[in-house]
Amino acid sequence: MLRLVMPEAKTLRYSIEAISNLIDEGSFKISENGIYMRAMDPSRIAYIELQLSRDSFETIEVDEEVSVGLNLGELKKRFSAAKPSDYVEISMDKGFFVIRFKGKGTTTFKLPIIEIEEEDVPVPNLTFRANAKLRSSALKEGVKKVGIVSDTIKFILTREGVSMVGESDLGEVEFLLERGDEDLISLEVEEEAKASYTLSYIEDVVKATAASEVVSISLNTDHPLRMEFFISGDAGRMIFLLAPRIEQ
Amino acid sequence: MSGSVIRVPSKKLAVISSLMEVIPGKSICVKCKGTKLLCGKRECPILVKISSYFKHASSKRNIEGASPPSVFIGSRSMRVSIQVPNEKFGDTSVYSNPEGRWIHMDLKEIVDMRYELIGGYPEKIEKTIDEIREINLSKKSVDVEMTLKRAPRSKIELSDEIQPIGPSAPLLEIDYSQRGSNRSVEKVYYEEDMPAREAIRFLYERGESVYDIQRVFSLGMLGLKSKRRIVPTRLSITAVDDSLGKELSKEIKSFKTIEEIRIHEFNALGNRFLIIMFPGAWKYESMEAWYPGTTWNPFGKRTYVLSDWEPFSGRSTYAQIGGCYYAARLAVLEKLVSEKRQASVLILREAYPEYLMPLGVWLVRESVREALSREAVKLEEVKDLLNFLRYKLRIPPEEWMKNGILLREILQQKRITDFF
Repeated sequence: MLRLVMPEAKTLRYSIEAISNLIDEGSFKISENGIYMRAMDPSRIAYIELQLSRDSFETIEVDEEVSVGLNLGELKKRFSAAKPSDYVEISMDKGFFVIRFKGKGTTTFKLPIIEIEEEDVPVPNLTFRANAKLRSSALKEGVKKVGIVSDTIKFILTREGVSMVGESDLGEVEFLLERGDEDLISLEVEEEAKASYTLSYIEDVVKATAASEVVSISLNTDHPLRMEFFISGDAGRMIFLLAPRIEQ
Repeated sequence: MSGSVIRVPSKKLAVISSLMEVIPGKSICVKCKGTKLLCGKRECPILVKISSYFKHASSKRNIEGASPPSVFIGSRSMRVSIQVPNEKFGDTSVYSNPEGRWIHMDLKEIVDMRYELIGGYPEKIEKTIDEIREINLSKKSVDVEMTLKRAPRSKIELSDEIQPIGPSAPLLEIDYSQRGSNRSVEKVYYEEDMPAREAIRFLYERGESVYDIQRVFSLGMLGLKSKRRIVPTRLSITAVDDSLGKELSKEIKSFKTIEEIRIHEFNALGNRFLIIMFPGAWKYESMEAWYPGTTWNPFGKRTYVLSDWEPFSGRSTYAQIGGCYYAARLAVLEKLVSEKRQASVLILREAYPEYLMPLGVWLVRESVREALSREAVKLEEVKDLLNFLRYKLRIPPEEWMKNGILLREILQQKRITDFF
């Protein structure tokens, strides 16, 4: 028996969209505790983890834990067909992953489950000395503005605030959230940090903000960036690690 | 061969870089390449000038020969011309299918051959379209007799996207002898519920060349019945390259990545192509540099550099460098599919003044295919790459880096695993 129900499709829709931009196939662990997935992109530049606890679901009936391999591009297409407000029911049937949307009528998609070579994805263990929590919409805004000028983004976390900077032959841009800004929920900086990243990875992942209101950003100078998107309060999260760029 | 042993002839390089200023493509000609008429004129003055060299009169109104088969549909006129090489019979496929052949010819040979293809376009297409389609169902060249309304205008049309197009005139009568149909084409032609993307893929998997697929696509011979229409040749080339490219890129994204940096090279007709494959996720960038004195940069003193790229998730807007972006992408994906590998791929093309006139995107597609069929130089480390590029190309790597995305990223980007 496997049956999971979510009152709204948007959580899965936007998190899958974000993940599928970086990773082609994913192995989802489904148990009575919810859905869990982690993977590294083929370049080993980005790591992504999705946790949807049982609180994310209205109903969760799972007899035993299963691993379900799915093509994320195909999964994304199925979810794109849903309205964000559609009711979603997930089940399995003879080698198929079954997704049912209820909104305008009832749509049932059967998606073939694929064999995925179990890759040993190491769990990155990193500690950060600069952390900020902000509204996801502010991150999205900053990324968009930096993208006007540059294909890289520099995050700078100081005791005074968070800034996102872009530099190129076309000039410079800075997006700043000062301490006290209502979009900057908290800021803890033991040591000021700055590092640059490839913008396109962040643009891809920021698509998840449609399913998340709050994101935390953690950083050490010239080290990987960690972003944690909180989904439906604390019921789910998407963790994203991205390796930095270092100018030679 | 290792990159670290290559010594850069520094004196030569210094001269070149002092002579040339490299800037991002700001010239309208380099962006337009005769396709969009950004200058506001009614005809591209560059193309008119070049094509005038090829004028020679032809007064024949009765044309007899074996059509490869071949058609041309003008972007603005929307005229559908059936093309026949006069007095040439038997297998004439070389006139329309460049695969494996044209890149080994010289420029004059190609243009002269294309000049021999005479086009006849019906003034009322509805009356003749079924016959034109029937000719294009054929697997082999079809003997055709055409009576034209007047002698064809002795003009050759040149374009960056389409192979040179010979003279044409209105068609009065057409007669042809029926030959055996191409079964695969016949299947998609009569299959009216198969979406165009699937039909293109089907033909490709059956081994049809992209040139033949593009030809039947342009004649509205495949796809859902309600969506079939006649499409200009230029558009159909990119549509087929893009459609196949999207399909193949889906396939390679789950493959393992290559392990080392590979560089493939091919030089053809005044163009140098370097195809650089890096270990990593699928990503693609195509860059081209037009030297002063080349077709699209005839009067400049600077070299123009253009770039277009797409991340793992693909692109949704049309590439500014045009059809060659999609043609080269297809060639690269074909190679990766055949090896069951993925990679980040950068194409660097330098077009020199010896590239006297545009010949069409087939040149890019076939050059990249040829390059990839040859053995690669393999490099262990990214740092060896810069020296290698300095030695191979006239434009220094710093300029490529400044004007593009991928090379800079490859040099700067760390991996997560570096921090465990």
